[in-house]
Amino acid sequence: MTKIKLLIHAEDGSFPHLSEYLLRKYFNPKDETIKDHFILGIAVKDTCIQPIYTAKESKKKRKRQESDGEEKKVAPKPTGYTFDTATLHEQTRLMEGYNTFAVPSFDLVDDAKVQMEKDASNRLKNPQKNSTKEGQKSIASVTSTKNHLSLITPNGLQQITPELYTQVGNKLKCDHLLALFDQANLEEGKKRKAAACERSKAWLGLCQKSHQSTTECKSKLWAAFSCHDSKWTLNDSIQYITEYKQSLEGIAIVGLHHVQSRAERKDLVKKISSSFNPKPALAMLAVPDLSQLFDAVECGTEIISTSLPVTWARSNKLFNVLKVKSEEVGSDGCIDLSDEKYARDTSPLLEGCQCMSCRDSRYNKAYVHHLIKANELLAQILLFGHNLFQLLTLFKEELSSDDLDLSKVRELYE
Amino acid sequence: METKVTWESRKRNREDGADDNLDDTKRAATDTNEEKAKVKSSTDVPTASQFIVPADQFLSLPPELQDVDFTKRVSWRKFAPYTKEVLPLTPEGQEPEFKEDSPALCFHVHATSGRARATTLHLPSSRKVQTPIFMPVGTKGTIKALTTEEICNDPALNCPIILGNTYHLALQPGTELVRDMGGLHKFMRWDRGILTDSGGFQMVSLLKLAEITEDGVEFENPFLKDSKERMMLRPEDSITHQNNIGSDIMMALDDVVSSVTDNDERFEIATYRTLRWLDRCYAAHTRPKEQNLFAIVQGGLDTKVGGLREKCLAGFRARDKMIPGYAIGGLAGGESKEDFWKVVNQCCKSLPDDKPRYLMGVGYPLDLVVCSALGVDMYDCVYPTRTARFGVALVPGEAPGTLRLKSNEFSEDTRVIMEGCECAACKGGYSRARLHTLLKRNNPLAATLMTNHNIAYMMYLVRGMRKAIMEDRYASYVKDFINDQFRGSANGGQDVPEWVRDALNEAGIKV
Ligand SMILES: [Zn+2]
Ligand SMILES: [Zn+2]
Repeated sequence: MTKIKLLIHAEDGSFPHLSEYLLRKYFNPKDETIKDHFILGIAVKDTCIQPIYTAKESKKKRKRQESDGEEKKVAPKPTGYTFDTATLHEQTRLMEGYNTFAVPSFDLVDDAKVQMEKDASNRLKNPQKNSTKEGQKSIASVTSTKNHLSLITPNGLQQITPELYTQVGNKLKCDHLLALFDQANLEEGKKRKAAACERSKAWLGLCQKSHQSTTECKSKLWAAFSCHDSKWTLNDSIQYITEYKQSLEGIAIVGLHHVQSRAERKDLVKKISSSFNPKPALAMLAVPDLSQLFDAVECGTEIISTSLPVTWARSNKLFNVLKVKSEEVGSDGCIDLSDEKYARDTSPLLEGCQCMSCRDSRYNKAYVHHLIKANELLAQILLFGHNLFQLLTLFKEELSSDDLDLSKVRELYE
Repeated sequence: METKVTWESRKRNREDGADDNLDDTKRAATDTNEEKAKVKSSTDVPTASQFIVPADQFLSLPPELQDVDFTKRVSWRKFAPYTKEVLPLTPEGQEPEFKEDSPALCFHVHATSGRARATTLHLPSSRKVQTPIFMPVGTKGTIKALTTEEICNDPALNCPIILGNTYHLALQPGTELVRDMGGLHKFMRWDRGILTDSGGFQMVSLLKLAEITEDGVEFENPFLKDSKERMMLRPEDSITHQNNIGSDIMMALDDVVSSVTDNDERFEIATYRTLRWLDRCYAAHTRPKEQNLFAIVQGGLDTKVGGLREKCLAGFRARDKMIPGYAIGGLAGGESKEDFWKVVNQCCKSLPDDKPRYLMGVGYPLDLVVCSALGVDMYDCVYPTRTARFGVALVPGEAPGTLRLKSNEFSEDTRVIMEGCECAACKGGYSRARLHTLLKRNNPLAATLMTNHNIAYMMYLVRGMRKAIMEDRYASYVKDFINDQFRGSANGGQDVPEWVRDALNEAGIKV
């Protein structure tokens, strides 16, 4: 039986919408199904970022601390940020007992898009502030060089070298580690894509070398396969990954969702998996919807990363995996609880669901509808807890089942 | 006036009309347009017109106060240390007994230490609240960022009672809906105490165009921005809303005047009106066996003998039989600390020792410690939870007793917020630096963790206060707390503020 695993981005180790109390209570790794089907994804871009102070300022800071609050001085502003492994364990929360997967980011192109949207809305908000410089810089791959990747972090664009990345990766001691990779925007030309491919190749080499030389590290190394197109970089990528086959746990496919046509996506994955012998373990990052998630299962992917539970929660959606197909449930498998029709609906969120929000008929639709209308964070907490639970149920009960009939599962949603 | 306003006549009124009113309310609720009816509530609960007075009598002393000797301080049923008589104490754990004149509240005083008390409020459905207590504010049917499960099951929180805001619940989702869901307890899955405010304070403070008339608080419908439709929240409406919500403790609608208003006449009108509105609230109250209705002492900052606070208190003394508990209102509105503690002091000295006292809108740790010394039992304030979301953590030690975790000075601070704190953030080992980062990134988890810590801190504080009172060492508890916050300018800290010194001195505690 294949155990299909759900990889969920856990920021720097914690979920934004799930306190540790709730995580441990309702998604406890001592529960075998959780252990087998749930992986916490740690993105290096979220972690190890340390503020830098100029020498002068940190002296001032020390002085202020010594004076013991006698005079109130404003704490200095950091002059910048840097990746730093020294304080890693204070900044990153590695939950014991869970399977973990460290990656640089789940998708560099998506990161850049999000950043550009943010910059655009900031420009709209304060047009005086000249943020064009940031805006131009924000396409990560543009400024990456052979020696470093420009990673979009919560503290702005930061450069990370493959050596430092591997250091961080080793220190994180995750079960799995994805080698540093570069990724080009699909719209870009041959030259850019080839350059990204070259970098990924070089960085994989460096990661592999450093990974092998560390004694303490037991992470399993994965190579990233950046999907650009089926023409220019495909064969090159297959070739260099093949070179490292021996030391790799598997291949993580990155950016497949940027390829527009489903046929092309399928074709691409088929080519990748058939080019290696034996067939490698496959992980798929940033899967955007259920349809592509089923496609990933169909082509033999074992680890699937998606942000669906939180995306749904943010758009007030309740995922319903039960085999009951009903009028209410949309093609995404969700019902939208912000709909006015739930205002007086006293039925449980999902009959029979054992999640933290549903069990013992805890909360009803009317209450969560109210929380949504009142713009309360608790709505997202309850929805995220439920959606994650339901998606995990789909993974363990449907997708990992021996007699899985994907067309039947699909039918429920499409 | 022919009908002398006595408790008996009010009681009759309740018995005669109340049940019919309830049915009318229900009928009205089902066939009116819900959206429109939300704040307005059912206009079918008639105004208890016997309690309305014409404008030319707004400034005349209410009839029940005409025989009161206002040259003497107003106080009733006082025991040691106020008088020589000793208050009969009840051991902890004693089963409640609900009496006819207080069918929804059984109040046990277990211990006193000076003027401070450790008590239990037994509420219906086996709910109980041990005091001194801080009530976190759950404005819209949720303590922001926390599940009810965490608030109950986390031993560091384990809050017995929270506050809900009638005004906000009336706007969203509407109190008729809450009623139809089985009340707020069931709706939000909270089987512990709930106290609701009257909604009046929010109207006056949030809505600029609110105007208070004899009938009630008149305001512009916040839903209909273009129309100039005026709406009204009468005492009857406030109680209907709170009956719908089903809170264990409801607050009477009072005539709120900002404590910094400079208009003596307005304060006098408000004080007398608060008494009439209290009568209207009790007349409209349909669920006295399940819900308590507390009265709120008003009267501005006038604490002199025969002043407005005393007028209000004397009015309550005349109505004492129907009042299960008292709140001290009209404070925490920008008045000086000097004025603040004097009002609290006077109310505690006047109000009977066998009923609970609740100081509204107060929630700074220092205020709690001082006001409990004066005899207050219950507190509520949005401050600890709101400030948490802005990144301010409450901590013991040097004043002001807060850490602004968004400040850069915490970016490399590897300590937890408070050593020994049992909250999810501290016990979970989240360093200040990590919380700093989470806050800077607007990660929702920061709100959860910070709220958790601040509520845990408030609960730690009130539990410590209660323990000290039970062991009759509250004075030394207070001294430790004060010395910890104010180390004195000689030691590089701050001096004990004058008002703290004065208030504690009044409570018999020398710092
Ligand atoms: Zn559920
Ligand atoms: Zn704490």
